[in-house]
Amino acid sequence: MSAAPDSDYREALTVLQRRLDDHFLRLKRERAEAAPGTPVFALEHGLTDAELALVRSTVLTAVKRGDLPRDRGLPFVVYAAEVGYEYSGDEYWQTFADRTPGWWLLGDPARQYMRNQYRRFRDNYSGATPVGPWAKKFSIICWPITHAVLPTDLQRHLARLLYDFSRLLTAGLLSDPEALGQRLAAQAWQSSARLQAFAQNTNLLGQVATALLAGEDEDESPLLLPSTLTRIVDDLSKESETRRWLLDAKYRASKVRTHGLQRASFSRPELTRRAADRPVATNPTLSVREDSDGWSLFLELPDLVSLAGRLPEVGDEMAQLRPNVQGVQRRFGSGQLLYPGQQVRVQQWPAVDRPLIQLERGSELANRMLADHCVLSPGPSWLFRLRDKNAGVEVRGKIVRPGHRYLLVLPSPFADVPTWMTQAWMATNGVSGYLLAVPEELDDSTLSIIRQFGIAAVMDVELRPVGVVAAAWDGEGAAEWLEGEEALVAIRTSRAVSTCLLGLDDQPSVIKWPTDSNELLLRLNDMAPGRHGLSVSLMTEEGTPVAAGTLEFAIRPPQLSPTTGTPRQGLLLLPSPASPTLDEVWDGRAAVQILGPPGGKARLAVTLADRRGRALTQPRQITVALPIDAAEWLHTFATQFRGQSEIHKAYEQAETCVISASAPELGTLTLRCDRAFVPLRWAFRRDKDGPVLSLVDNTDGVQAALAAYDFARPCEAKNVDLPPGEQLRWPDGGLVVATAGSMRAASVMPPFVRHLDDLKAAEPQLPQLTKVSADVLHVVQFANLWGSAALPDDPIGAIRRNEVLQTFARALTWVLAGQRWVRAEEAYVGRENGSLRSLRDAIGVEIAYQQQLASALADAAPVLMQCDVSARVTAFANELAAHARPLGVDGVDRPYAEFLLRLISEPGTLADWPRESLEALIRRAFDAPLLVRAARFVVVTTLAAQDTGSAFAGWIWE
Amino acid sequence: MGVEVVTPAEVAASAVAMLGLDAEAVDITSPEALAASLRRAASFLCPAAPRVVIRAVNDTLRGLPGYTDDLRSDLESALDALVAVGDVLELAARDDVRQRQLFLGPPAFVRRDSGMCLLLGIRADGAPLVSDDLAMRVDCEEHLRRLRSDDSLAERLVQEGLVELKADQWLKSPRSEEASEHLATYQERLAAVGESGPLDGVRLIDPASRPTYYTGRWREPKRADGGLFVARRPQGYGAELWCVVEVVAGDVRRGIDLPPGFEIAAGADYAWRLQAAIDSLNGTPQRFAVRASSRPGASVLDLFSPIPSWAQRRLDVVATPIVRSRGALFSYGVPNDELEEEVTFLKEMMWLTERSDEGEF
Repeated sequence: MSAAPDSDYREALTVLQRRLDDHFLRLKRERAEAAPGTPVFALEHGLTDAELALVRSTVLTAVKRGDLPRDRGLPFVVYAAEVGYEYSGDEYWQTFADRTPGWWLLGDPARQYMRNQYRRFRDNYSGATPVGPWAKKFSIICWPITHAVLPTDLQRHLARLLYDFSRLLTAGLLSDPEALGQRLAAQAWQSSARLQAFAQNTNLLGQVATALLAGEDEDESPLLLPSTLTRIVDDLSKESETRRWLLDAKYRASKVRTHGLQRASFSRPELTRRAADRPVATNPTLSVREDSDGWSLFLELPDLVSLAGRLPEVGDEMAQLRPNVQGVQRRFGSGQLLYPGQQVRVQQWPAVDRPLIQLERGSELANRMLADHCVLSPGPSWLFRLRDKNAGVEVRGKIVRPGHRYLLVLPSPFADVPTWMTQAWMATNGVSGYLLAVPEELDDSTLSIIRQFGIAAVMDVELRPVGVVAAAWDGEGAAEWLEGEEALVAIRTSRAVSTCLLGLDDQPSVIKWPTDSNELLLRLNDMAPGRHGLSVSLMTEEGTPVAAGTLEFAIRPPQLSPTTGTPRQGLLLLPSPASPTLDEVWDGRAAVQILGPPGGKARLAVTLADRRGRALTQPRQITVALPIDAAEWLHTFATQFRGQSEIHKAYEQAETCVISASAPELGTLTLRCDRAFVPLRWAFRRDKDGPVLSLVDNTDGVQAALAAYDFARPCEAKNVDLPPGEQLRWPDGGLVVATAGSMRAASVMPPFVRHLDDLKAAEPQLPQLTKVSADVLHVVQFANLWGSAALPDDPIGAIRRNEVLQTFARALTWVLAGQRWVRAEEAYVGRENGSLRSLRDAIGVEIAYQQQLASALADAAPVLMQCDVSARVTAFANELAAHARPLGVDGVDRPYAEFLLRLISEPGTLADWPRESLEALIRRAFDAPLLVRAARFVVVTTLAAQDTGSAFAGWIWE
Repeated sequence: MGVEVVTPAEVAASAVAMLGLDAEAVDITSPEALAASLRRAASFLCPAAPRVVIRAVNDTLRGLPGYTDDLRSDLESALDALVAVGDVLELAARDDVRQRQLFLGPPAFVRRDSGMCLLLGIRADGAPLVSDDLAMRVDCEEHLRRLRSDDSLAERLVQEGLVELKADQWLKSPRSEEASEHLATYQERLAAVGESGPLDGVRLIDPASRPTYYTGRWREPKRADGGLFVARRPQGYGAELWCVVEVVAGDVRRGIDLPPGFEIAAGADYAWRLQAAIDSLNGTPQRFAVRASSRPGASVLDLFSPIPSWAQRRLDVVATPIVRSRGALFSYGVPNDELEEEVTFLKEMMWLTERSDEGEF
């Protein structure tokens, strides 16, 4: 075939349509036979280079002529998939239009045409259907991108994911693409934003991954057309590092496949399934330690990645929201539930009738799943084996052995303490502790006391891992091994035994005890992932049972180490949220804690790169003292990186930011943050004529409605007319908002500063507010619109936006705290005739409790100045609990304290709080203006000395 | 799924294979297997006190061929070697700077002039340090893992997430000084701190004891004791702290914990060098011995006392750890052309002298 002249394009379309129809019908039949249920992709067109060139020229001609024939859509489907294969980032239509002159002129009907053709492809050829939240957001471009199978910009990320994941491969996963896709998706949360979106289609991910992992010497994969698979592998292998990752993953898969087949012949499927039905527990590990305050409970955050994999929507919440652990004072950062292994001290023993771990403002589903999957072992007693003087781990099976030491924790004191029990001083509140030195000989009265606590005594038999250290072992009766490892167990007894009656997952077997040993060694073969139980009963020659014991164990997949490290390492990056975007890091909405040995030093580097991965800046490096908490991070990033001109200039072109922390002794860790992957966004640049905004619109073609707001009139919308593909210039600047269906994109437009006069700005004016909830909510919504808008890197734009945000907070202060307070605050801020004392008195001095609250807050101000926002909320809640009872504050009400502080510092951050509870909280604020004044006092007296990028310096809310 | 009865020898062979070693070449209580077992235990247990890691391994080896009650001290020595080389790090605990715990050392490698790469570090949760095809080429000797280099090895290791450490950075050692000068530094530091309250559980190194039997040098303070001692004291859930103490009539009057300040290095590095200075000034310097090796062009260097990580790393780079000689704490096979330089280094930095009397141990 040769290139189509203009006049012949319709004939060429007909020929190509027929050629592709034959091909895809054949492929549909073959696939249904070889891999039922596996879809066909448009990229599997099987065309030669010459044929593909003809498709391109024919489609270009048709588009130029505005001819999109309904009955000859296959060349268009293939063409769009080819564009999808090569594009990167989020500008699909931009790329498409650049390569297809005349496309913009066809407008929205052309996009609809493309979607309809893909739907026909799905119906006629069992074509793939885009799925996942991403596909809902990008409802048209999801089709060509899905049909591109694995776009080139994802190949490197998928190769890395396969390499990292290859350790977790099993024969079962390799023969079940759907399950493999789900498991890979669960691990993709730390990968690039684009790969995360791709991974939402777990079937496609599994299909592609299985095909890529097929062995060299195996038959062709039935999951993808061989020529398409070869093309992807060739492209993926262009870079040596990516090629190596794929080769290693394939090598591991090949080994697993061979080994897995051998094992399969010995397995008993019904038992394998039964064990797998019982997923590995995700309960936190408990331990106790003694220090000068007494014994404290410690809790280790469990690995919840498997839960996130099974329920992606729950995983999204875990990545974004802040976890609360019952009884723990420490405030976690948002998303930190996805970083397992962190050990936290528990101040108040958790109540068993309340969920142990919950997400702040999490959905009912997410919190119910957490309540079900992360539970404290049932009370009313808890037992810890003390193998060290000052430390122990929980014995979940609640068994004791003669001669061993334990810490027993009870909900209330025990009256008749025997001599082998002594009271232990508990630093964790709400329980009583007792040290048990279990006697070597257990008489009936001792056994009776032990049983009172719901504890059993095990004598004369011991079951334990042998050979290699198990992945977990509590020292008494609970163990874990990794998938693919042999579970080796020793059974030891001091009694004369003839027979051992075994029950492995309730399957009995009888084993003769070795005559020359007090130990019997077992290998547990081919245990399926999940929970298992091994029970042992030892019998004498006469058949008398003399000892019995159990081993509860789990076979679990290994945890993958993220590039940000694990708590087992000396250095650890802890981002909040779990996988922040470049925008969040830049705007200070994300923080990165760097944990390491106190006093140690690390090199912190930030590099910005474009969408092809090319560095836009030399890595900027500074030395930091460890550890770095969230507040220090925000300050360090703002001053040492964001404020640096080279980084600052490159920001608008950057698609990725790589943050790395390294120390020769501690290693190197990295965090990659991509631009948010959204269907509607503003792109900013600047030229000689000033700032320019252009709208990147990948929504389903509905024309976006535009509105603009002046800095001086931040609540008054003006209409904007911006034809598709045109750029927006606005010398005065303000806020521009694009809305398409449920999507919204807002950006601050910095003013164009040519002369000093351009720096002058009118003070923002708001409509008159009245004391009604609706007005407050109105301000909250507008503050959210301004506060969450993208902020191009421009200092004047930032200053103007902050003035607007401060105006919102001041307006609420005026309406909620009263004029007298506003005057006192103005005097204090201006230092004309105001002082801290007069501001303190303006809180309220009429009644004793008012004075006490005001004095306490004034005393705390210097300390609060050094704290992060979370600690200030806690301190404020404590002061309210101590002094504001007459105003209806009953105990430590942290959410109320947080509400007040947010309301008068950055009200926009309340916009996503549930409306009903927000209205109730606003009514409470109207009823207690003194508390609003108190909150405002805390804000204005603890402003950070240096700008941290927030409306009120140092008050950055997550 | 099924249960199979196995013999202790079969368990040992399975365990060696699970540790990634050749069951035909090494047994489960060999130094190589002990080091691998400790690395595996650390990958699941860190951050943890050394005793927790050692106990976990000891418990799983009980009853297997080669197990004796002395194995615990072998495990202690092996763990010290892993700390020295950087496979595990002894650092202040995150939630309490007074406690010191073991953390996993970062995956890294050091290139040697000979073309070999030393592999360092441990990955969490039992993950192998390198991919399977590289793992098959790793040569384990005592606590060391080495890989013969080729043109692309360094690139491969970096692709697999290992960081290359420059040899001079990894081998960085403190400045050379006289033993008296070194001791005086600690005397001054000790004089500058106030008297501490009573310290429970202190064990100290008896300077009058034979420096060639390290394990036997530890004891509790006695009434007759006076002066400056290297000591250890228990500390909550963490590792026993290394310290320097001033003792008067058997009572500990004051002390400083090691490492001084917030250094990342292990406390033992400071303690062992200080003890070497004390022994040297007491006229009973710590010893080394050199003897002929069965390997042509090499000699055996025996050491009878522990040495700091910066001294051990030098030997790890130029020499080969070998089965220890009778009475020695550890032994290295050193190429003859490197021997003089290494011996000179030990003499200058640790004030060691060569053992001349066969009857000394």
